[in-house]
Amino acid sequence: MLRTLLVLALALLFFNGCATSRTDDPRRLVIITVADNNTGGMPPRGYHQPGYRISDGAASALAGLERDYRLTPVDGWPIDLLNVYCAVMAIDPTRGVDETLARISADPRVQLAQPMQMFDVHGGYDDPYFDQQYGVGSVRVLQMHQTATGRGVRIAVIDTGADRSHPDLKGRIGTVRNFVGDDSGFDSDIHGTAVAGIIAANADNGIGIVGIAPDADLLLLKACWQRALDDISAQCNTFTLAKALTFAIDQQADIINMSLGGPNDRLLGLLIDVALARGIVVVAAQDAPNEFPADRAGVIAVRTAPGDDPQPMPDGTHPVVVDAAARNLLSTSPGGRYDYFSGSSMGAARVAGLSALQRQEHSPLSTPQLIRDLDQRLAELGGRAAEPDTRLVTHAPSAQRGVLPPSGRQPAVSVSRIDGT
Amino acid sequence: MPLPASDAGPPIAAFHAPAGAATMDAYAAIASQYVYRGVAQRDRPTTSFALSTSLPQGWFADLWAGLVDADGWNDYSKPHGTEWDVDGSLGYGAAFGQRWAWSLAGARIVDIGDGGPSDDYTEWRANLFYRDALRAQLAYSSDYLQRGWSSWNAEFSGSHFLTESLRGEWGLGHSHGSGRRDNDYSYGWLGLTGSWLHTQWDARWVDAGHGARYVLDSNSGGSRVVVSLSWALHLLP
Repeated sequence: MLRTLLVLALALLFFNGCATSRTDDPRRLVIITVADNNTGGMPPRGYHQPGYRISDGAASALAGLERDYRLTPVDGWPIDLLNVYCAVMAIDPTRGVDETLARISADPRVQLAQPMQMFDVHGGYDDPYFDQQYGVGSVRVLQMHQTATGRGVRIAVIDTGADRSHPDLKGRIGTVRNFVGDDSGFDSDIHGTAVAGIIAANADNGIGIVGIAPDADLLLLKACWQRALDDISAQCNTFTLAKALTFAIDQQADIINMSLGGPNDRLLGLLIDVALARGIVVVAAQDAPNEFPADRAGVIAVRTAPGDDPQPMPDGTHPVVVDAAARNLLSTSPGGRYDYFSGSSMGAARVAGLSALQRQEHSPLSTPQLIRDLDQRLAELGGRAAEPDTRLVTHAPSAQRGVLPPSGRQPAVSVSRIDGT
Repeated sequence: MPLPASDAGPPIAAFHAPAGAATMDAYAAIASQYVYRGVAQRDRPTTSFALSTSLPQGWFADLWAGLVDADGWNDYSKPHGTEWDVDGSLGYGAAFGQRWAWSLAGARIVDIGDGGPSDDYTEWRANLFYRDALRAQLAYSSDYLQRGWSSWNAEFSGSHFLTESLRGEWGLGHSHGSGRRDNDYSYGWLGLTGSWLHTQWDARWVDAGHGARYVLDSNSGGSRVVVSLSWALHLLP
């Protein structure tokens, strides 16, 4: 009798598992969060279930949503920072994505529902070699290293993987996590290797280059996957970025660098707000206006003015740094090599490095203080700069400078470049 | 809306990457009595604690400790005394597919405070999970309670939401070699569980077959109702 029951139950289990496994169309994936305030109870003795931590309330809500909207679960994880359980679900192919998403959003069990969005890393071009080396000299980083090198500052680099065995990154990369899954190409990823080198390549080791903050500790969080072996371009999505952001916050990073951008994303925006509220500096690259996460209030957005034309920057509600000098930056490349890189990704990396220096000198430093200090430092650098295209001028509404609005958001500060003046 | 499929990114399998962070959870529970594998190891109120840790690579270490009533070593007529039953396990687990997970573990069960000769033993466990709805376990010990014979236990259990806040639960199990070399018994349970104010409550009716009486004492098997409350605390991440 017992055997019969077991066989029947296993058969039921098998067919149930097979019936809803069609989730291979990424366009039908949605992110859904439900309240997860309950911390749950003690699991049965001797049962360790990998990766499953969900409260009864959240599990019940998700089971109901699956049933009511014919959703297929793909993955899920608790975001304790937001007191929610975040699920990735696939919408049934027979139903419209927009219509179903709208209905789910209106469901009282749901806190947030949004499409799975895609993001691209910036700086997607790799200039040919020039007989020049941009870097620490032109921004007077050597002078800054007299007082700070980023020692003790933790910078989370949310990017692709990176060459962990690169000699110029030796000892700089501490914690490593892969939120994408396939680990085979981790060390051959180009973008993350370049960003890591600009921030924290070792100094005074007799080889290669010097990072802006050569003693900083890097948390290398792979949330983006490179499109092809020799292609610097890479993509991420809401899910992988949310995992990386949560990890960076939990690990108490001082600075988060996101050299990437995409459409506005509610879930990621909430997590960035948590990071900012905890005093974490968030730096993001920006290639276009209204690009997320650079346009999130409180995020230091780094744009690269094209060519030699000064790019007028709008005085938005968040700090903007224009780093026109982020062209032809020599940095680390996979395989222990070096290469030149350009773009706002590399500009963001430079600003993250500068922020680490400031953080070390003024720890703990609130984000408004950091912005003010960064603002001043960049202005000073511009004044001393021998090379005209590194001169920088700040545009900060004086009434807002140094004032932290009630919302906790940072004052508006923008920095732009003036050529040759 | 999401980008076209050609730009839409990695295969779905990528979502099943490790969560990326080590986890550590602590638990505490009180119960009207403690029933393990159909046998009442304490038929009066008791308490238990647990600590569960896991690494992103899949390795885990769990520690469970519960207050039980000691029997004498093979002497079921001795009066009960109180001892801590400690169950420490090391193992590895992973998810496969969208709904399944498995884990393998080696456990050492140690009794602390009974004052008698050691009856600590090692047990190997294989678990299979289907989301939070079904689970199966096969456990084996080559020298159960150091009595010189092997034993095994198979358990299959599940739960299902009856309402948004109430879950029904059930289980079936069979043990061989517990208590006596050739002892076999089956057991099962039905229950309800839910949560309220950060407290998980559970009420279940347990029934064990005749052979269960030979595991500890004549009162350890049979039919009984167990009520418990438990709490969890996520320490990491």
